[in-house]
Parts: sequence; structure tokens; C-alpha cells
Amino acid sequence: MTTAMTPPPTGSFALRTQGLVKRYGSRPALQGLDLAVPRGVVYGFLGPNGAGKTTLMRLLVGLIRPDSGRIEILGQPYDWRKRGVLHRVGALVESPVFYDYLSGRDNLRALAASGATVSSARVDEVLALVGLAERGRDKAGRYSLGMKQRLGIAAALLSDPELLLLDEPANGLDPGGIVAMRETLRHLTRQGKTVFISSHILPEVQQLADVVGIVDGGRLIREGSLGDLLSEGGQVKVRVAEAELQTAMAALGALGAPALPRPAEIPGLSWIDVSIQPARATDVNRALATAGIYASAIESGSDLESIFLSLTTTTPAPSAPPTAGWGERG
Amino acid sequence: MALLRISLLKLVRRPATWVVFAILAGLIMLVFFALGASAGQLESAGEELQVRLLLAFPTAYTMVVGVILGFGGLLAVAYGAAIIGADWGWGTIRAVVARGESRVRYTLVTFAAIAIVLAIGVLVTFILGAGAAILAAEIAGVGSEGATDPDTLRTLPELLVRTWLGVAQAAAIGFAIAMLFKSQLAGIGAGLALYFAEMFLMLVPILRDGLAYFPFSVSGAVIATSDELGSGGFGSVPTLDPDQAVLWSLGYLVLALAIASIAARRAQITQ
Repeated sequence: MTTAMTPPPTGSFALRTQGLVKRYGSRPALQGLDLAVPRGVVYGFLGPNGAGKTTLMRLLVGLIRPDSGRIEILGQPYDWRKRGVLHRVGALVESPVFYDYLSGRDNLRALAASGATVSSARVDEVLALVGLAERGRDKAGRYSLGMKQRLGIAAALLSDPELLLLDEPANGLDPGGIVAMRETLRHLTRQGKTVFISSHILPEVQQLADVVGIVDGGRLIREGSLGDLLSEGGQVKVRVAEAELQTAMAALGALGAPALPRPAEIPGLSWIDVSIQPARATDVNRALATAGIYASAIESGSDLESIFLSLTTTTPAPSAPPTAGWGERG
Repeated sequence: MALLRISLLKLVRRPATWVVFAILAGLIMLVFFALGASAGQLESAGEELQVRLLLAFPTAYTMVVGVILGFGGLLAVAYGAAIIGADWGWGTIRAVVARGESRVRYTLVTFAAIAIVLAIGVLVTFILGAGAAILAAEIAGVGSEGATDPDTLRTLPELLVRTWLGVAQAAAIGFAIAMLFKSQLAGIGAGLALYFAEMFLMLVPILRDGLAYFPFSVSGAVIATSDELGSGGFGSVPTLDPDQAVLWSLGYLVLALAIASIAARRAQITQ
């Protein structure tokens, strides 16, 4: 099932794909992907490992060719043989790689000489933007993972792109770097630019994205605004004393919503997960108060992680050995 | 022009460029110092005469470019493969393509930069080699008066251009193979294998006449060499007339670049 927002006019899409198919030998990576990214938003493109996220990124920047289907970038039909529109696009595809023997600045100069023409002043500007102005003359080979990631983001920003394609942009960034990146991307959308983020770091996407598309098995299974997504099938969590658990369960049962108790992190307390619209959190609170119970904490809303897990075929294995959850998916 | 400038910067800053240059320059100087030192100590009068002939100018100049073509050609195969192959192996080609840069333009400009670096390399190693040859001639007591003969000096520019063409053609072959395999190791390995395979083919009598048209025989034949020098590292195999070899060399160069361009255009970049 794919739920889409009300379609805006064609020209207002920064990126659109229709029936996009890509196979690696006999293995399908994308099986008719239909995607619509409105302009001026942060679009979170989510999916488990092997869902087709990286394949889509590679197709969008012309690293690989589609078997069939259409791509439209910034309102123009896109063909891997005619990639001029990419001069208006910035991309960080997979992990950023640089010439280790060149400085960070010279690596950016090397990229600035290809594709759209970029001035050396812009090179210094983006270096400063990602906090590498002081280290710009150091060899890239001496950069940490996080610094290379910053340099990769700087490279994507070089041509002041209208559309930014970022593959796991938070990889390796420290908390300060993540906050700075978030602010930068927000600033870009305020200028009317579009940011397309492919990621599986769900809390990060939840903090950043306006629109979310979830892909699994090479198909889009859900697309919509983050607000709509989070308000559907949400839940309210209340924390009560263990001694009052039975009374609380009975009071919540009267609301007609399934409730599930689980131990809380604080001894003597329990959480109760109530499957109810977040907007009805006050009803939950009132029902408990009427029964003479005062919750020590109430949390409402849903999180992207639970929605993602319910929609995709990813199976979390919390009680299994650590390696069990890392198997290859077909 | 910006892309060519930055491609040159990448080559100049890359350690492989200096390693290749140092190996070739060191080898040439070693050859001449060994020849200079051995003169006067050889038991056979024939060998003694041959060494003196090699160190006498203008033959010594031809020997310098012969060594550049022979060893330099071999190193150029590996160098051409290493430069473009690394872009694939390291994944740096991804970012370039993702910026909307034409794959064919990037390929051709990268090779143009390699050709420019090779031209500088040929010139500098020739100067170093000529210096070593003069020194060796003096050590051997042959004298180096012929080194500054105006008629000889007038032929040097053409000799150097031909040498550069032969070396650039060898680099183009390594370059094209690395592009086809999308790997520097595969490019270096296959390029060198092809180079040595050609040398071993001279042992097959039926192929000896045709061997003159093979790419590395052609690149070694772009300069005229006297019999005692052999031909660009290929010994006494039949070789093409130098002018004919220049045309064949140009043909191989263009063919190699065409193959590299087509491979770049068609390649799916999944590294």
C-alpha cells in the first residue's frame, strides 16, 4: 500500500521517479519505484539494508543506468547520457572519498573544476560552513571519519545546489556536527532548496524531515508528511507505580484502547503502552486521575522507528546474539 | 582548462609520479655510470670497443632516449594504469560523475595531463641522462666533444618528441586497460603482462615479422637506433621504419583513448 500526499503540479517537484526499475543480474534492486519529492522540503528516504536506497542515489547522479522507468530532476526529464541538470544538484553518495595526498581544500578545488564552474572563494566558503576552515590545508588522509564526512557535505554544497542528495549524511559526525548539519540543511530549505536524505538513522530523520518515503524490497511502501505519518497509529505511554498497575489497566480498559504493561527503568514503576491517538493523551490522563492514580510520566505520539518497523520487513532481534540482526537481506 | 590544471596538480602532488620519475632517472644514471666505470676494465677488445661506441656522442644521445623508451615505456604502462585506475579503485570518480561532469571529457583531460607530465618527465630524464652520459664518456676517456655538435643538437627536439610519443602511447595502453577493468591493479598487471607477452612472442618464429606492428614494438621503434643499441629494449626483433612507427604509434594512442572513452561512458559505477 502506498499513501501519497495530494500531488502538487509537476513543476513543483524537485525530484520525481516513475516506474524505476534496476536489476543487478537477476537480483532486483528497484521494482517500479514511484517517488515524488516536493520542492523546498527535507525529504527522508528510509529503508532497511538492501531496500534500494543506494541504488536510487546512484541512478540519480548517473553512476548507473536504469533498466526502465523515468526520472525527472528539477522539472526536467533526466537521462544518464545528458546529465547537465546535475550542475544544479549537489550529492554525497555513499561514503565520501578523497585523494589522501591532497589537502581538503585542494580536494574541493579538484571537484570544483568538474561539472558546474565554482569559484575558489566558494571553496573557502563551504569549508568554513562545515567547520574545516582551519584544517583546510591539511592532507585529507589525516582527516578523521567525521572530518571526511564534513568535507563530503562541503563538496555537495560547492555549486550552491537547488537539490541536495545526501546518503547517510550524519555518518561519523559528532553530536555538535550533527546539530550544525541539521541547522545548515534547515537553512537551505528556508532558501527554497530541497534536501533529499537517504538514511536508516531514524531519530535523525525524524528531527529533520518534512516528508518521508519508506522503501522496502525496491518499492515505495509509504510516502507522506512526517506529521501525518506520526499521527497515524500512534500511542500514549504512561508510567505508574507497580502497586497501582492493575487499577490503572482497568481504568484504561474503559477507553477501549489496547494497553500493554512493561517494566519501567525505575524499580517499583511500570510503563503502560496505550494504543490510542496521541491527541487523546488527555483522555488517558483523565481516566487515570478518575481512578485515583497519578502518573509519574506521560509521553504521547509515535516514533518513526516503530512505524518503520511495522511497515518494513526488518526484524529486530533484541534477545538474539549481537551478530544475528546483521544478516544479508535478499 | 580548469579541469586540466587541477588534473596536473593531482599528478604533481601524487607520490607515484615522483616514484616513477626517480626510478627512471636513477636507472639511466646507473646504466651510464656502469658503462663509464667498466670501460678500460673489459678483457675482450670487442666488448671494450662496443662500450666506447655507446658512450661516444651522438650515439650516447640515442642510447639515452632508447633507455627512456624501453624502461620508461614499461613504467609508463604502469603509470597510466595507476592514475586512472585509482579513480575507480578509490571511488573518487563517483564524486566527479555526480557533479554532472562528462565522463569522456574527464577521461581525455586526465590523459592529457598524464601526457604533459610524461613530456616533462622525458625532457628532465633526458637532461639527467645526457649529463650522466657526458660524465661516463669522460670517465671512460672517450671524450664528450660530440655532445655539443650543432648538427646533433638540431636533431634533439625531434628525437625527444618521438620518444615522448612512444612513452605516451605505452601509457595510453595501460590507461585504457585500467579503464576497461575499472581497477589500477588490473590495469598495471594486464598492461605489463601485455608488454612482456610481446617480448616473448618474438620467440615464436611465425610471429616475428608481424611483431613489428604490435603496440610496444611500435612504441620502441619511433626512433632510429643503430644495430648495437637494439630497439627500445626489444633487442634484435624486426622493427618498423621510424617514420612508419610514428604513424602506427599515433594510431595506437588514438585507439587506446577511444577504448578508454567508450569504457568510461558505458561503465556502471558501483564501487
